[in-house]
Amino acid sequence: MAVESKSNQKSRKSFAQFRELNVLVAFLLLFVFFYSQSPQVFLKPANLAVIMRFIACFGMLSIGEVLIIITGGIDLSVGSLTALTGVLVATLMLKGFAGIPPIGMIPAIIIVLCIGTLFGLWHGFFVTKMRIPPFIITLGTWLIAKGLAALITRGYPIVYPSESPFLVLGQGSFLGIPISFIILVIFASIVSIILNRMRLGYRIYAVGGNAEASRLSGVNVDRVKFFCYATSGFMAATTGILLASRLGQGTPTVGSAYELWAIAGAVIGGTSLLGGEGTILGAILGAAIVGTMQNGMVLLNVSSYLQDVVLGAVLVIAVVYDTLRRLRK
Amino acid sequence: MKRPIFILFALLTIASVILTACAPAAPASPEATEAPVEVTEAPSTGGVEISKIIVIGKSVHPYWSNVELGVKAAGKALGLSEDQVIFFVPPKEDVNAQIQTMETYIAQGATGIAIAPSDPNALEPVMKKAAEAGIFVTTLDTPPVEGSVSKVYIGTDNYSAGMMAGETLKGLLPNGGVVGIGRGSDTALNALQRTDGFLKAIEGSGITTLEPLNDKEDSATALQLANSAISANPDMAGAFGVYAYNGPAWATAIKEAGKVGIIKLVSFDATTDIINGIKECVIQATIAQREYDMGYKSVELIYKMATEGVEKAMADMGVKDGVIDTGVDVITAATLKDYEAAAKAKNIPLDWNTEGWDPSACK
Repeated sequence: MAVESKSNQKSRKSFAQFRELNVLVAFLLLFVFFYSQSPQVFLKPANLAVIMRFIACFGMLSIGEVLIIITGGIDLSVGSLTALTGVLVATLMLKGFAGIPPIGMIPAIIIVLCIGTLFGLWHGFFVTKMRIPPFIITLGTWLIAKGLAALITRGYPIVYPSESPFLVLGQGSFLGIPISFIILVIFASIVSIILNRMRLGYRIYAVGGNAEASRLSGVNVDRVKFFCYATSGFMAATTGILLASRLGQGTPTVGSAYELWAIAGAVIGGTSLLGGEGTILGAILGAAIVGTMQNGMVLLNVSSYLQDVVLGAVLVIAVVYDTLRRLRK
Repeated sequence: MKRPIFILFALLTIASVILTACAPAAPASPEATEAPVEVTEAPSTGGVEISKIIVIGKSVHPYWSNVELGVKAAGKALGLSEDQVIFFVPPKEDVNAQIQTMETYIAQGATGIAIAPSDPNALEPVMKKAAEAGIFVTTLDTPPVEGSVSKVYIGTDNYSAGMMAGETLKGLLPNGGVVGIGRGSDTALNALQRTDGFLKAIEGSGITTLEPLNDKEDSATALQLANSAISANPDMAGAFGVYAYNGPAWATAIKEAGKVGIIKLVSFDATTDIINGIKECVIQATIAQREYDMGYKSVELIYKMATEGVEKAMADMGVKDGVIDTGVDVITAATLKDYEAAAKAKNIPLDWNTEGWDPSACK
C-alpha cells in the first residue's frame, strides 16, 4: 500500500488529467498509424464498430478493476464471472433452472446482475471482515465460476434462436454505434462522476492512498471496499450478459484471461497497482489501445504468433514509461 | 485470539467450496470421482477377466459427451457392467489431471486404458508405466508420440480431415479468392494439422489465405477477429473455422457484414449452432468427426485384446499401421437430413431437428 497520502485533492486531479493526456496521445498515434497503413478500411464504420465492441467488453471489466486496484486490491474473478453470468442468463431465459421454467429477458437480466453483485459482496466480505488477501479470495471465485459454468452447460453452448430480442443488446447498434458501447459510456460516466465529484470517490482514493489514515479520519473503509468489489461483480455480470447476446449463446468458452486484459487496460491507462491512483477514462483508453492494436494487426495481416509479442511489449513499455515519469517527479 | 480461528474457518470454507465446485465439474464420470478403493473382484466374461476399461478424454465439451455415449454403448453391447467401463474428463484440458487419473487406475489394476493425451509427450511416461503393469494402452482423438507404447490410435486423422475441408472449399470457390482461417491455437497439434491439411488441399487452386487468426480458444475473441478480418478484406471469398466455435463465429460475422452466400464458409464439427448455420445457408459445409465411434471402438478394441489376444483384436478391428481411422462426415444442406437419420440410429441425442426445414432453400 502506498505510504504517501494524497491529502491534497486538487493536486491529485490535475495529476490524473495529465496522465490521461499521455494515454490519449498514445492512442491517437496508434490510430493515425493504422489509418495510414490501411486508409480505405480502418475508418470504415463497420471496422470502428468492431473496435468499439472490443472496448465495450474489456472497458466494462476495467471499470470494476480500476476501483478495486485504487483501493489496493485486485479482482481475478471477472473473466470467469463473465462466462458464468453469460451461461446463467441463457439458462434462465431458455432452459429454466432447477425445475423453474424459463423466465423473460428483463427478470433474467436483473437476476444475473444481482448474482454478479453478490459475488462482489462476497469478495468484499472476505477482504474486509476476514482479512483474506483479495488475490486469494478472487482466485477462488475464478475457479468456482469457471467450474460452475462448465457444470451448468456440460460444455454445450446454450444457443438463442436467431430472432430473440435479447440479441439486440450485443449485436444491435444505434446510429452506427454498438449498443454495448453506449452502455459502457453510460456506466463509465456514472462511475467517473462518483470518483471525481462525490464524497465516496474521494474516500476510495483515500483508502487506497493510506487505509489506516482514512480509518482514523472517520472513513468507513470496509464500506468503501464493499462498494468497489460489488461494482466489479456487477460489471462482470454486465459483460457476461452482453457477450452472451453478442455470441447468441451462453457458453463456458469465453472469459479466459479477460481479468488479465482488464488489469492490463487499467495499467496502460495509468492505474497504479500500488493503489491510490487511477481513473476510469484512463482505463478505457487503455482498453482502446489494446483493442485498436488487436484490430489493426489483423488488418495488416500480422501473424498471430507475433501479435502476442507486440501486445506484451506495449504493456511493458507503458509500465516502464509510467514508472520513469513517476521517478522524475 | 479470535482472529486466527476466523481465518482458519474462512480458509476451510473456501477450500470446501472450491472442492465442491470442482468435483462435479467433471460431471461425465461420477464413477471416477468416487475413487473406488476396493479391489474389484473381476467378474469373468467368457472365461477372461475384465476388471475395468478406462477411457480418458480431454475436457468438458459436447464432443467428449458424444465420446462418452459411444463408450457407454460399447460397454452395454459387450455385456460389461457400469463400473467396468469408466469415462473420465477433466473440466478443462489438464495434463496433470490426466496423469493422476491414469496413475489411480494403474494402481487399481485396470484391464486397459484408452487416453486422448492433451500433451502426448507429457503422458508418454505414465502410459509406459501402465503398459509395463500389463495394462493395454491405446490412444484416441490425439495420436501419441512416435514409438509410443500405445499400440493403436483411434481417431480422425486431422491432416486428412483438414484436406477434406480444403477440398470442399475449393469446390465452393472454383474461381479462387481470399480465404480467412480462424483457429483456437497456434501450437496445438490438431489445429496445426487441420490447417496444414487445408493449405495442402488448396495448393495451386487460386485460393490465397490470410494469416490464421488465433483466438486462444475464446469464442468472443474468435468473433472479434472474424469481424476484423472481414472488414479488412472486402474481397474475402471464403472462410475456414478450424475449431468447433470458429464456424459459428465466422457465421455471425458474415451475417453482420451482409455477405451470406458471398463468403463461402466451411467449419469443423456438428454442434447445434453449426447446424443452425447450415440451415440458415451461412455455413456451406462442415466436417464432422465421428467421436462417438472413437469412444465405442476404444472400448471394443481393449475388450477384444483382453479376450481374444492383441494380434487377433487388431486384425479384427482393421488396424492399419497402428491406426483405426474413424473418418469424417461432410455435412452440407443437401446431406443434413441423412446425417440426422444416422445419428438417430445410433441413439445420439440431438439438440436440433430438421422439421419444417427445406434444404433447397440454400441453393
